Amino acid sequence: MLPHEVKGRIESGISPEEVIVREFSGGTDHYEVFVVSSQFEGLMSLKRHRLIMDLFRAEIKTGEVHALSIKAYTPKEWPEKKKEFF
Amino acid sequence: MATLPEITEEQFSEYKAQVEKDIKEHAAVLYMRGVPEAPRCGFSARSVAVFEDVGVPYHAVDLDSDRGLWKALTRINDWPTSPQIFIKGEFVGGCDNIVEMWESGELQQILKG
Repeated sequence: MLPHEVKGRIESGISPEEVIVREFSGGTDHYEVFVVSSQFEGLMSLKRHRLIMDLFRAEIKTGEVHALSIKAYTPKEWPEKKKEFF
Repeated sequence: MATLPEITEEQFSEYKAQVEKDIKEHAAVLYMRGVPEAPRCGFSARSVAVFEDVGVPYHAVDLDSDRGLWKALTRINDWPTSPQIFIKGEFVGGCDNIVEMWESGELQQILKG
């Protein structure tokens, strides 16, 4: 799955405020995604991750996406986290 | 991970009983790829590092040597990837989630507090 497809899937899936996609294996199947969305307000980490993970179920099953690391933050949490990661 | 084997309902029940036993007997259970001394994926390795840092006993189970169990876990937890981690009997997610719990101190508090 190509990086812009990963980004597009998240954008159409949960209408986030911001998405950053990084491929970390040098190929097209190991992704780390940073997703900022107000939909995460009041949700525990696991529930936030499920919202994203569910968008890639088919590709994870076939192996088209082998690894998906998720960082999911609310718009309020994001500025602090952004400093930490970027 | 691409091709996890199909399992029968009977096998699923056996795996489920095994998982229930594991999580009842151990406060921390890490279903991972490989073993703690030789993890076979970066996310499993990072999860091992978190438990080693916390310094409490944890029960590690190798999914590469039993891919039927891996298949069963994806169904039990409705979670498609490895590792899969249980704390005090509750599924908490994978590597990203355990790292978050460790960074916030929640994990240490639950396991040592």
